[in-house]
Amino acid sequence: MEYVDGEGTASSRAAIEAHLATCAACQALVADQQRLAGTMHAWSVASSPASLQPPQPRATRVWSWRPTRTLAAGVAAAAVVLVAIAVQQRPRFAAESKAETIALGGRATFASTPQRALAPGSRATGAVGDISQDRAGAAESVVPQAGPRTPSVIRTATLQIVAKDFSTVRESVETIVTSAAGFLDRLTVTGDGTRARVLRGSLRIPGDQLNAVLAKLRPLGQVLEDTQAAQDVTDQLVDLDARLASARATERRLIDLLQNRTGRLSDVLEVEREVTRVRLDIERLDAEKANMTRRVAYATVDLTISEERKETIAGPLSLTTRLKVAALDGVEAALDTVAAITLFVLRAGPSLLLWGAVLGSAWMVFGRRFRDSRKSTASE
Amino acid sequence: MADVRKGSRMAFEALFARYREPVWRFFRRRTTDPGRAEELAQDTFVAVLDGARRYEGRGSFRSYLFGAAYNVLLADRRRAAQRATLPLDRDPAVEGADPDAAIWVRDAIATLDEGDREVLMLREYEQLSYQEIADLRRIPVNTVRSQLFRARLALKAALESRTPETTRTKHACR
Repeated sequence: MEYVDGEGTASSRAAIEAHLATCAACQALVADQQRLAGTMHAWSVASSPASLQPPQPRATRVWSWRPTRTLAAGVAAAAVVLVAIAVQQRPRFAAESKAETIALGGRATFASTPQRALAPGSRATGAVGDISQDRAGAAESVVPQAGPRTPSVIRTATLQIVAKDFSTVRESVETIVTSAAGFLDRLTVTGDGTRARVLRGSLRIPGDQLNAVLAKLRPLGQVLEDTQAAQDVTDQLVDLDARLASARATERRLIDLLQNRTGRLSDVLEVEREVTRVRLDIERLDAEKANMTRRVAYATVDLTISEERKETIAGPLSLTTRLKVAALDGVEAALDTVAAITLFVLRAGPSLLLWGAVLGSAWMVFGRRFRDSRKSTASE
Repeated sequence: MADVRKGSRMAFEALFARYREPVWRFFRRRTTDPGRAEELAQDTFVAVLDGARRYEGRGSFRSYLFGAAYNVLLADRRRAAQRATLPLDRDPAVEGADPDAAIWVRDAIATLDEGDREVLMLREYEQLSYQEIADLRRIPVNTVRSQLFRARLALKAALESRTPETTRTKHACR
C-alpha cells in the first residue's frame, strides 16, 4: 500500500518493485488499488464560488461571525467572576482617620514628657506635653506586608511649635529627619524681618523611628499642638492581595484560552480586549497596594514651627505664663534701655566729650579770670 | 509564507490563488451546505493570515494549510454536533463527468467509519503523506497505515456491493 501511495524508503520501494516484476497477483493488487484511487476521484465537487476572496488584513477586516460557544462561555465566565469580586470587595478606605485626635489648644507649657507608643485606633488626650494613651497596648509594628499575621498601620502626627531660636530651626529639622533615615516630602519657610517666620513641612519618617523623631523635634520650642493618629489598614491590604490574586488568575485563564483554543476572529479579539482590561485592573491594584504599603512604611509628620515673640498665642494664658511673659518683657525692656543708652553714648559720646572739653576749657579760662576779678574787687 | 509573514499582500494573494480550490474542495466534501463550506474556507485563510507571524515552516505549507483547515472543521463540528456525524449527506452539488458515479462513490465513502474515512479522504483528495496525516490527526503513523488499509478494504466492499457479482475481482499473492 505504501508503494501505491508513494511512501516508504527508496530501498523498500526497490524491493517491492523487484517482487512485482515476478508476482502477477501483487501486480493485480497494485492495479486494483490504483483503480480504487481513480474511482474515488470520480467524486468531484463544484469549483469554489466567486465570493470566496482573500481575507483583508486585520485592521480593515469586517466580519460577522458567530461566536464559538466555548470562547463565549469562557469570556462570560471570566466577566462574571470579575464582577462578583468587584461587588464583594468594595473599597473600604475611610476618608478620615479612625483614631481621634484632640487639639490641645494652646495650653502652652515648657514641659514635655515622653510619649508612649499609641495602639491603632487610640486617641491622644491631655495637655500639651502630657500625652497619655487611652489604653495600653503592645507597640504597633509598621509592617509593609499585609495579612492577619501582623497589623499594617498608617501613622500620622501633627506637631506645632513656637521656636525660641528660629534661625537654627530649619537645619535642625533637616538633621533630625536625615538621621532617622526619613525624607522631607515638603518644607517651606515664610516670613521676613517684619513678620513672624513660619516653617511648615511634611516629614516622612520610618514608622519605627516616629517616636524618636518627635522626641527630638519637641525641644526645638514651645509645643502648642502634639497629636498622633494610627489607621489600621490590614484589612484593606488583605483585600487588595485577594483582588490581585483573583485578577491574575483570570488573566492566566484568558491567556490560556487565547493560546489553546481555535475560534473566530471576533472571539479572539473579544478575549484580547478582556485580557487588556484585566491587565489594567491589575496595574491599578498594584499601584494602590504600593501606595498604601509606602504609607505604612513611612509615617507622616505635619510640622509647623513659628517664630517666638511674634506669634500670637490664641486663648487665655495662665498666671504663670503671664508672669513669665512679663518678666521676659521687663528684661527685654531693660536690655533695650541699656542698649539704647549704650548706643546714645557711642553716638553722642565723642561730640559730648568734645563739647565738654571745649566748654571745660572755656570755663577754666574764663572762670579763672572771673574769679580773679572778683577777688581783686573784694580786696579793694 | 515568509513574505506573508513580512506583510506582503501579494504573497498572500498568490498563496490564496494556489490553494483556494483545494481548501474549498476539502470543506465541500465534508459539509452539506456550500455556504458553510465557503465560510469555513474563508476562516482557514483568515487563520493562516493571522498565524503568519507564528508560522515556523517546519513542514510543507500544504500540510500546515490543511492542518489549519482540519482544526477549523473540528471547531465547526463541535459547534454543530449533529452535523459532525453526517459530513457527507445529500448533496446536489456533485459535479463531474459522471454524476451518478460521483454519488456512488460519495455514498460508499459515507459508509466508512469516521476515522477511517477521514484518513482515506486526506490521503486521496488532499494528497497528504502518512506523516502529515498522522500529525494532523495526532495519531501514530502506523495507525494511519492500518486505518488506510481498513478504509480501502471497506470502500472496495462498499463499491462492489453496488456492482454485479461478475465484475468483482479477488487477488491472492502466491
